[in-house]
Amino acid sequence: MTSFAKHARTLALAAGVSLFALSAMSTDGMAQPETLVIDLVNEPSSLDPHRQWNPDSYYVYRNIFDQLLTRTDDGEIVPNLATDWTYADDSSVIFTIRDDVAFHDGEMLTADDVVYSIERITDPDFASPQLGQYNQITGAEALSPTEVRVTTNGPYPALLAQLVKLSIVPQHYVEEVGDDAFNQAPVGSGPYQFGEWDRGVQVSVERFDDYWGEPGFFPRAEFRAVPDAATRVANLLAGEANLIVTIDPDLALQLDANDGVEPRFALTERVGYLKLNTQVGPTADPRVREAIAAAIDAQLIIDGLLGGFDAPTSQMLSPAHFGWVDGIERDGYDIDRARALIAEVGDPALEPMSFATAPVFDQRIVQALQQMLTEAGFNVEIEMTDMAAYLARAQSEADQQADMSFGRWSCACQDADGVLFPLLHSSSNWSTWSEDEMNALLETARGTLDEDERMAAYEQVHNLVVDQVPLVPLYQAAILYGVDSDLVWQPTPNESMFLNRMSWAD
Amino acid sequence: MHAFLIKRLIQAVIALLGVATLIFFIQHLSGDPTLLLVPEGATQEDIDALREALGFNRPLIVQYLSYMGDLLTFDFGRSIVQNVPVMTIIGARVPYTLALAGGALVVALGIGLPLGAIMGLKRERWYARAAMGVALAGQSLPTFWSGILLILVFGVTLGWLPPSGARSALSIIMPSVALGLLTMATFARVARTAVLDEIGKDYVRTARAKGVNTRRLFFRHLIRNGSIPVITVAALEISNLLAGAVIVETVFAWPGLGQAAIQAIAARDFLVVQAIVLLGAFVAIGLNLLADLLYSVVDPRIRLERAR
Repeated sequence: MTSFAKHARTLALAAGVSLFALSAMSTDGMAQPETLVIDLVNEPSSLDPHRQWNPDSYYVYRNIFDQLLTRTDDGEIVPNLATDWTYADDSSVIFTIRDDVAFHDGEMLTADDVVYSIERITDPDFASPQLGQYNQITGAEALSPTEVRVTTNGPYPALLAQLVKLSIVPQHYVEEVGDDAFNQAPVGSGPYQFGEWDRGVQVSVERFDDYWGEPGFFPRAEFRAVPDAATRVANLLAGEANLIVTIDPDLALQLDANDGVEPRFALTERVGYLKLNTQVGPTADPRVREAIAAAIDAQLIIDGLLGGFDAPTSQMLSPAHFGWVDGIERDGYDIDRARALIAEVGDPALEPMSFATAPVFDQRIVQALQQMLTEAGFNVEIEMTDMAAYLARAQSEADQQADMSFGRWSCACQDADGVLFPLLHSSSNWSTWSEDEMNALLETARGTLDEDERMAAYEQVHNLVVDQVPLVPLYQAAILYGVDSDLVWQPTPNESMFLNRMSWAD
Repeated sequence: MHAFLIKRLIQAVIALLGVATLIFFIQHLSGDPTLLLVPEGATQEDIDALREALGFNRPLIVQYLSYMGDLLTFDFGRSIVQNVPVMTIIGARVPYTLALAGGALVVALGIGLPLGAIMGLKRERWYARAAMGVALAGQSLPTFWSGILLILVFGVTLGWLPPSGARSALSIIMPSVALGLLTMATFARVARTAVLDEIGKDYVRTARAKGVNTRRLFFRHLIRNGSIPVITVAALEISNLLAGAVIVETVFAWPGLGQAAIQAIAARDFLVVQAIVLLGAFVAIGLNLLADLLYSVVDPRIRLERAR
């Protein structure tokens, strides 16, 4: 949408919201409904948890299925279906599985279901888009009805973090009805069971009364597809929805101005960053990269464009990641220093530089970055392509890549390995950085289960990033929701939406 | 008449095959969806494996021939994103889009034609000019703006109608109005021109000379003679309505084809996009054919000319 269109709509919305504020209507005093209505952007792509993993699918099916492990709202990995786990050796873990877990059709969950689920998602023929998250797993075997051994190809420190997302599906049911029927009417062991899927409109789920764990507060929930953010806000204001996802800071401020509703946010594990081409073009010169870092005022972007919700960062991680090191600081915004460095480099620094971006990224940020770099004296040209083309280019050979590109990285695993290895190891498609010291550190951190050793390696990685600027970490991205103020629920960095962690306030 | 129909049907099939070819290559030339599906940081091996499983590693011409082969047997394939047959997705959405287009047409014709007739018959009066203003305003307001305004006034502030979605029978009212207002002005203008054209003709003067009153003149003669341009425009406008539905469906969370198309395009869900485009082309071609046939019903002279 053009920025004119966006502003026109913001104005329309502001007008409407003022009307609303003037009107006598209010949601206060109404009985609290038993059905929780959640407005998502789109309907889920799939409810088979081994297929798509986009947020709209994930929000729904994570409530229908359980995983071996889960994260608390504080991000700590804790038991879920697995009560306990021990490392048999560096590359195999034995999980003890609960024996009191029933699927929604009444069958009991056993170690065989766990093995089946792991084998299903890692089977290349099944072609799960999520395979890349589990490709280090080489096997799973049931040692007893309540014990499963998971083996990896070498020590794999991110295993537990990845298993947090691997849903356990019922072998008997999937084999009986087939993949297609399972996808459209899934049976899991989670706190909510699948209700109905009115295609394009909504998916409903109902509380599973025989759930082994924390039961849900709401007897029923509906996840609706509402693509337009302003419409989601209108639904929340009208009391038609109780929780809405993905709003921008302008809409959040407008919610703030109304009684009965409010914005809530969490700092996610997504990090906004500027990737620089370290092999080709002006950015191959470390002084140019340093000048770029000095020319960018990340705090200004956060305050001016992002509503102040996001947080600046000097490392390519968020505090929600394993591998985050307190106290890493890169030199801040200093335009004089940037200009001095450009003068030192001379003409090569003034050559046109390509800046790759895609429409899914906030173009105001991309333009602000361009503006800041231009102010320092650089000549930056924005090159916009669609997301698929952007991704293809970002993962091509260094001479095909743009001089710089803006991105927001999420490994959905909250472990530094899922961020730093692909972005900085020379074997990765994403990386244009090729340096033995960096490679060795990343391999060390990936190849040991010793947390102290890993942290020490990542600290050095962060320092190398600060010194040599293969990329410029900008900010830890916030995710904004709109909620009925009476809803008790805290958004989390991993963007989960567990219904059994929500309730109405007394 | 038959020769005319057969010729038009053959043209329609050729046009559809052309559209299928065009949309296939336009989509595939800009790459495939594999990278959108994998997690960030997936290795090249993972990406290649998924690409192979989805069949995007085959030469483009092989993919094209396989697609066209399936199409000729009316097999529209499966959505790679949703893992269901394309027809399941489209089948669920067609009724909603038809209902919306129908509702919008009722609004557009129901308001546009009377407005146009008034503007034509009473063009010197102030209310005819006011009517013109109303029609223009309806056309000038972009739907993403008028839509959200309707939602906030009638859905939020007054609470008369559901703000969005398709959960109750009342849900269709606002999207129909938002979409209908866009085309209302077109109908009003066409109706006005048609009335003005006819009113200056000899038969009208003769009828008036004979003492036929205005009401009878209008309902017996002007409507029938003036309807040909209206039919043409209606056929074209229904295609426009389907295009406009893309925005209206998004604003009102109305689960029609336009909304599905936007999602499929963003996800590069090729087969879904291709099927929706083909369906759109089919509807456009079909409506034009229908309009041609309707002319001959309304005006027998057209049938004679075409048959020769």
